[in-house]
Amino acid sequence: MSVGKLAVIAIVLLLMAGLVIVGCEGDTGPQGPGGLPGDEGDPGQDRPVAPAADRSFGIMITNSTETDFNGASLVELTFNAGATPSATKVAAVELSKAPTIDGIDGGAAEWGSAPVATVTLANISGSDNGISEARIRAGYDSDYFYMQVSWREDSNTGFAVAADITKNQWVNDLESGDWLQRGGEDKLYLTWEISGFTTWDSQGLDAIFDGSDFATSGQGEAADLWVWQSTETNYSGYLADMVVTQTGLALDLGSGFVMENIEGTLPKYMASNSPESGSSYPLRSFEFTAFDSTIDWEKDATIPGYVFFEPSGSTADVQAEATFTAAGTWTVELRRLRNTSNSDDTVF
Amino acid sequence: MRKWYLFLFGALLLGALALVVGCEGGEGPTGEKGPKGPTGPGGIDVSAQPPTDRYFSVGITNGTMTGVTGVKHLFITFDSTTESSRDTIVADYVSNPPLIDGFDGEEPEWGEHSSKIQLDFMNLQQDMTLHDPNIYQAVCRAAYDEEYLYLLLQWKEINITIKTADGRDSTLVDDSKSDDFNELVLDIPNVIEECDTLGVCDTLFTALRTDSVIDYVDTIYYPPPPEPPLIIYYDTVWTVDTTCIWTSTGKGEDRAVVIWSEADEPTWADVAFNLLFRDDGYQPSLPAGMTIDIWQWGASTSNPVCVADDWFLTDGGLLFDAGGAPYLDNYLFPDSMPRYMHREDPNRKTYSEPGVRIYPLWYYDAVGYFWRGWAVNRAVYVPGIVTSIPSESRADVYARGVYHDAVWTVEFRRARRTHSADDLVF
Repeated sequence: MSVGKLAVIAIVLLLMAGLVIVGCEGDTGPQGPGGLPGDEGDPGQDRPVAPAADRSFGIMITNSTETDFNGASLVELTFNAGATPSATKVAAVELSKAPTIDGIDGGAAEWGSAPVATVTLANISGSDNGISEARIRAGYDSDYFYMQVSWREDSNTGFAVAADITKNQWVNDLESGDWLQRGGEDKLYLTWEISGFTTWDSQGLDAIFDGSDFATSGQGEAADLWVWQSTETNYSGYLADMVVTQTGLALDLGSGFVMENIEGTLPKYMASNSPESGSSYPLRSFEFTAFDSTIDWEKDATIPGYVFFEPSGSTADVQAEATFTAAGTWTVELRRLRNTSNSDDTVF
Repeated sequence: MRKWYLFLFGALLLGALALVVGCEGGEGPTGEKGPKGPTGPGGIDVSAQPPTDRYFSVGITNGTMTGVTGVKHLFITFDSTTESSRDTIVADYVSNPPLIDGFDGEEPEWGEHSSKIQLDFMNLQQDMTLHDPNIYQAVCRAAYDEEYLYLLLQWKEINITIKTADGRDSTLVDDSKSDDFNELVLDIPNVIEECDTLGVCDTLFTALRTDSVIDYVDTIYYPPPPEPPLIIYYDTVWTVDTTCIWTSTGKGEDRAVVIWSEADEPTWADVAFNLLFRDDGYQPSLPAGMTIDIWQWGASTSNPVCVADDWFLTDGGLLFDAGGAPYLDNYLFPDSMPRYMHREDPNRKTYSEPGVRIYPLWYYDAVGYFWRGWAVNRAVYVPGIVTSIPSESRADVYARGVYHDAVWTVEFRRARRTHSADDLVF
């Protein structure tokens, strides 16, 4: 091969190398398309209506007297809707529609599938008042806890079957010339653990009640006590929300229900411009004035034994209404916020 | 020469090859990251959803209990894309709740929708003496948020006066602020005039209660009067017993009633209107299982305490919601005695001082009625109700009405869910 041919081949190879080097540097391609959208976010959460924790509570009922208690120290309240109620167990169910708190048993139309638990009561202190069972329903929704307690008074035990809505009523006894106080009231006690107890689940009511007084035995122990009274609280639409501690029993914070109407052996107050026949219950906070003994009171004129106020604050956390039938049955319905944000209340 | 052709051909061939092969440029850079995906679907928290569309009714009275003008079938929708009309109220979602103060905050408070609803006089009792309030139109606004439903009604009253046959003016309907519900009056001169006309009495009580047994016949003497003026003689003014001669003026009040139902068919509205606005004892009933929620705002009975009286209606009848009422009836005992009076009574308002305002009589100003000291030469008045603080479910509806230039603006607010069975859930 001649030098010329080799030169030609070398030039051609050189040109090819040059072209490969220079010519392969093509334009940059266009930007790729945007990525696919990200995955859909997670669905929002329904507002949960979580059942409360199961717990135990105590119940006591009186009939006209202050010292004769029948009740059950330890009743289980379960929020397991499938649980079977018994003489010592109440099953609370979630209610899609709130019941009317009017003291009238609306049955399943109001209480849905909430079963009636017939809780057995026995004498706890004083004489047996004959009230041997209480029918209890319980329910809840996102905000409230609801309860219905019904019992029948017993006429065979020497206790009167009566509504007892005029406790300590003053009656003018012309024959003796005295004003006399007459009448008692019926009461329902429900008690719940707030905090600090180590024996609540075994003792319940017995942990705070010795048969006459309420107090806890240990420091830091606190119990919630709801007291419905056929006279003192019943005219207000609420029951007395109280707290039991080592120092004893006290109303929750707020103002109370009644002012006792007594000074010595006479009423301290009467209805303003009262007729000589007196006045009937309730004597409300805006109706009273100082008792006037110079009025020519009629025979059997009556004056209420209390002046009634609207409760306020945590004392009025529990709304309650009640009715009494001619057959002697009280039905008390109540509702309370599951969480009142008050430290003197239990949380459901 | 051939060499150069061969060289040229080879060079061209190589060039062509180089063009074909060498122009394949490199891959471009990776594209930018795509945009963020859409937000996932919301949860099904009922309280965060708009309320369910439904029907409701509105009734308005002007100073009477039975002369109602209203509409039985209004539709409220919570779909803000719907166009409002005279019978379709569109409730807008509001992030800032309207102020319930009785003043129409219009679009800034209530959103863009409003309706002018058409009202008709409903003479339910076919009572020819009952006058049409002549209120044919009202403004209606509605709004909601996660917690509350809000409603506004605004209407204008008019005054209608006619000349009677004897040339006197007679007011059929007036545009006053009728907030003196069921005022009670003790009008001895008028009673005595009636006695005189009848010519039957020589004592007031024998004239008043000729068919009744009265123990007080000798208390007030009414000898034949000298003419004029009428002079009344008493054995002693301090023993005048006013117990038996109070009467009700029968005054109604300006009232706005909103009636809610979960049912689509309108028969419930007929039942509700008949129960609420008749006083002839007609008692229709609802079908079993139906519940009607009723908000009754009254210029006298509920407005002083900023609520609408909350009632409900079932097949069991018309009932108050549980709780304390916004007012107490200062009712007349069987012996016609009011139950309460103002602590500054007697004679706080008399015929000669008609401008004295005695409404509302707040519970804390009320004292038990006392029968002595009332004027006997002119009419005197006490309120027919005592205003008190409502409670529990009866106080669920917050409401405030303001009257200005014959126009009432009434605003309502209620929790969408009150947790009371006597209330509907929105």
